[in-house]
Amino acid sequence: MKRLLSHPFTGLVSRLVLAGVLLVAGGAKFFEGGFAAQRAINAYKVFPPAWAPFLGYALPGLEIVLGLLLLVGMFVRISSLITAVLMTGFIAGIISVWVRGYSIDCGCFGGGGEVSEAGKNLRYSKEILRDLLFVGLAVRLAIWPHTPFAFENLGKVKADSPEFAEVD
Amino acid sequence: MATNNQGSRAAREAAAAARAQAKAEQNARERKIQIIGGAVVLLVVAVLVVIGVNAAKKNAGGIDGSAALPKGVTTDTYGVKVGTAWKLANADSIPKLELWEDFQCPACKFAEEKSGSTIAKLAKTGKLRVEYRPTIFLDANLTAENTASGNPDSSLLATMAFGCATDAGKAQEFHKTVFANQPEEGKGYSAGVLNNYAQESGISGQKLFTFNDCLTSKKYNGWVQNSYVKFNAAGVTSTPTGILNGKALDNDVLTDPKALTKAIQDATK
Repeated sequence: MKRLLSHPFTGLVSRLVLAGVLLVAGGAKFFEGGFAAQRAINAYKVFPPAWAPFLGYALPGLEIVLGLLLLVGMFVRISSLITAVLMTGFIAGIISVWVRGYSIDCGCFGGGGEVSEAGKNLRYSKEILRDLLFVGLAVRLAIWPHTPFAFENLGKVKADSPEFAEVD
Repeated sequence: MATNNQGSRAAREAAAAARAQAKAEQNARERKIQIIGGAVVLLVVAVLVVIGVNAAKKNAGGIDGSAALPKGVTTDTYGVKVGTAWKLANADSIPKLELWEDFQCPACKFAEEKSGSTIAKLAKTGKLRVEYRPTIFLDANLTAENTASGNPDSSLLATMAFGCATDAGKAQEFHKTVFANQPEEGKGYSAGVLNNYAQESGISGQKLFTFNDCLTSKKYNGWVQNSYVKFNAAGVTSTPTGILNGKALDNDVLTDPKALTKAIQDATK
């Protein structure tokens, strides 16, 4: 199990999956326009409304930057660490609205705001499970950040190491 | 033996030097890649910040100071104030109910059905300062349905009409009529049906012509957008939201005339 998890190919898959998720989610929110992202953030009732215009761009912007870094494979360890913290924060946010009895759209991939109560528990459970999976991938990458086809490998090439010959 | 030792030491030193040089080259190379990567990250961040700041500026500075305002509307809230209490000498001591609503919101129709007449009565008798605070966030949610039914941006259209009806002195009546005739969610309002609602609300004769002009020329587009900016700045996330003397009411209270009346009485000093 550990061999499979630490295998560079598993790392590549984790990196690209996380990159895709971050770019799609961050891009959808960042370029949604209007007040959508603000409304999504306000719906959590965690931050003061005055922060929403800033966070509405800052959080998706951070996701885009992390997504790009993971996509090209640069600063993989630190990017995946930040991703893990960010996703844990999202999970905490969902748990907090669940506990407080609100029924909202998490706004994870755009949208957001309050929605009908129907299917609330199933919806929150799915979102938390999904984010837990992403946290797992990010933690795996933080532990074994080395993956093939990463830009940062260019700096690690050893002339006598056949393992990296193809990258050089 | 001695020469042998010396030879192997020299070889060891040479090997160590080569290793150190390789290591130094490797470090330099690694640093170069990190600098390139870091520079690209900074560039991407800079581009995102510029895009974000521009978009945020467009939203926050979205108040159009030159927008025409319906009768009695002021730039502090852009809300429509109804009732006699606003003009009383002791107006400040009379409870104030702000109602955030979207004309396409079914829950707002429900609240109007339940509590509308109670609110209207309290406003008429000077016991409550009522301020309708329109928002149009459902236009974005219902774009596809509205367009398919031929009534794009129906919340905006209905709210502009509400402004025109306010000029005719029939704000409360028009408000009630629109909600009473609210179509199935997504179908939206046409200018034609809004004109009918104006007549139903008691707007007639010259005033009806004025209403029609006002609506078709989109005179209050800017006002509605300003009210929408206020909605987003207020951090209100759903409609209806009733705010009594600055405190958000539970929707169970807002839709229960008895509980609402009691809350308003309690808020009366």
